Amino acid sequence: MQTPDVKESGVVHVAAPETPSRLKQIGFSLKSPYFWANWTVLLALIISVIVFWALSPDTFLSAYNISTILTAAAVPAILVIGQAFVVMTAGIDLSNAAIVTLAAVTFGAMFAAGQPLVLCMGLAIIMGIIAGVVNGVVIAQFKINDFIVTLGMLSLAQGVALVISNATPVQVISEPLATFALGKIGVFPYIMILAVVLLIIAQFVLTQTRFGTHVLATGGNTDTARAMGVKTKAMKIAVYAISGGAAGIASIVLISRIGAAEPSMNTSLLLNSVAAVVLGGVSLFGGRGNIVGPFVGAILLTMIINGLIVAGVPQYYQFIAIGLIVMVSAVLVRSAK
Amino acid sequence: MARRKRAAGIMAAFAAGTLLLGACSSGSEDAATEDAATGGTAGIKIAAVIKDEANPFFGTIAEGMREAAAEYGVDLTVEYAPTTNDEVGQADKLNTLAGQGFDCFVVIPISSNNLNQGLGQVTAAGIPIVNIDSPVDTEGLAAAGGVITAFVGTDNFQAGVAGGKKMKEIVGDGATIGLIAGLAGNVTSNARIDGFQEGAAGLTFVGPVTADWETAKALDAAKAMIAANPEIAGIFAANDTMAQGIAQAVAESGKDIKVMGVDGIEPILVDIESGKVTGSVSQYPWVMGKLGVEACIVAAQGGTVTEFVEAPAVVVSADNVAEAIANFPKPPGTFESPFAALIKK
Repeated sequence: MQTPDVKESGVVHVAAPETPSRLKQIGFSLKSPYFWANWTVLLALIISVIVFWALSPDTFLSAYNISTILTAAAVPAILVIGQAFVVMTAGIDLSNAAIVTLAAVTFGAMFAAGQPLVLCMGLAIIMGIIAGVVNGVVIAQFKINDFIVTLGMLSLAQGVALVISNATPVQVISEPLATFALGKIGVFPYIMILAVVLLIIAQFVLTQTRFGTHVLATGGNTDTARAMGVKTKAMKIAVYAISGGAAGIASIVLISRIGAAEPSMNTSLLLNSVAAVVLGGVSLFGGRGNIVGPFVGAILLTMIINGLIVAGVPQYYQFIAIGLIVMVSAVLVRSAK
Repeated sequence: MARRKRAAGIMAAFAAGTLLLGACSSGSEDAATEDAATGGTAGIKIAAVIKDEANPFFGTIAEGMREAAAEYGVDLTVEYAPTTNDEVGQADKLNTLAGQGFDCFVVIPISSNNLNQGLGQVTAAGIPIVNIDSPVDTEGLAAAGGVITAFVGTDNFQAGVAGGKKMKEIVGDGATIGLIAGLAGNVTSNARIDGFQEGAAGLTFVGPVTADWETAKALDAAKAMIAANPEIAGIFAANDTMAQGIAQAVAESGKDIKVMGVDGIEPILVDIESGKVTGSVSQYPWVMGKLGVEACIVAAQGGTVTEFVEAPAVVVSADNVAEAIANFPKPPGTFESPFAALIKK
């Protein structure tokens, strides 16, 4: 620290400290407990890989099995990107699985009407964004609790989906979609590559743009942020729109995997997205976190189910193991602060 | 630093615990191979991906499969769908098992298409597939490059017809019957409902209302139906888990409404005996499971398998419920397995 240069008039001049170099910045973050809260999930992933490999040495780390895990993880990973943005503003999106269904039946309705694939996909994503914006507007404008609003949207979206689809699934047989769902580069399925691209964009937006800083500010302390000129209402609407859009993209991947637009909601998608966000070191109180942690958390949860099946662990123990792992990891993330 | 060390310590303890859990429980799904496994069937590994464990129907299918596996000394791994309607979860399980070196697969898909991609990969690996109970859509499967070697199942339409005829016998002409279906658009559910309406032609129908094969949803749907249609004389459910919920709603309403289901699961047989439920078109899941594994063994040995085998379905009501319970899970009378003779010992 520079010693202040005191002049006769009593004015104190302090030279501005120099901005530390990038390398030093990385060094500082390694020492920070916040950094470790985010990376505990990576540690958990590495340890789980080792444990499952030990249980099934021939099959767990085979190329085929790795791509099976990555295929299964794609939809949860895309959803978690949206959920992470929302949770960072101290919110929560309980409707994301229902929005997936809504977007899926929108796709199905367009597809059954013979519309081109690109239009079906675009409308699915737009439907997701619309649902997200509705969430955001009700929460921000009417100042109602995120939990309640998105819970209401869960039922609303599910209901609208049933109306649009008349509760009947639409078979979606499409060559390009099937190629997309099945194709891989090495062990990386196309759908996981898509998820990673979205992750990179999201992480960049969060850490390198003003928007990202404003999102964190909105979550950290909404009143202060507003006083500083951050448009907190717009931020809220934006993050819910992102979550809805992610659900829209996820619905397309889901349809490509099961070959149909199904009107029934998959609640485990919702629960896993929240669990993965917490595992990834994002505080439920907002203001802190990144997207990479929750993304890795989503892959971890998928990998655990796969590892247990490969190891021949019976069904009941699969549920117990997942529950235990989520609780233990949450405790570790907490204690790493 | 101390925090991180403690974190690592807890992780290690947890890892050790998981290893212990795995070691204790691995192999518990595999059928015994200690019996003198004869040359022809030893070393055959069969994988089954079926629907949810919560429905006793599928538990009985698994029992039949294990019986056959034990009889012929083959290795059997059974994976259930995570929940009743988790299509992608079931597909993930199939994908996981597809790369594990099994000789044959027995599958019951949740929807007619959700397993197509995994099955396509199974066929690409040259592994035979036996489809039981719920049919896979063969056209959709062909688009994914997959082929079903054999199908063993009940003719669901005829099962519905039998149920309809029996219901008409009991309630008489002109009565109003409620219909409660399974998962929307499901082929099996549609066939049963359509068959029922043909078998009970002449009666007035309300619905069908979908209850996703779930007991709680069927309970609510039945309550609403009874409230909206006070003259209702009977309700048909596309499966027994839903019939249980409906029977509960009927009991609460205090009215004399006849309840008919499909499947013939043990709790329903008990309810038929006590009069809570009028009847069920009983399928023989135990037989289906056993035949499924036998077909798989024949296919894994390279033999030719009959492509379509119809499993029996019998209407169980107050007249024959005692016999049904006594024989459970086997059907009353005898049943010949078309595959047993083809298995090379």
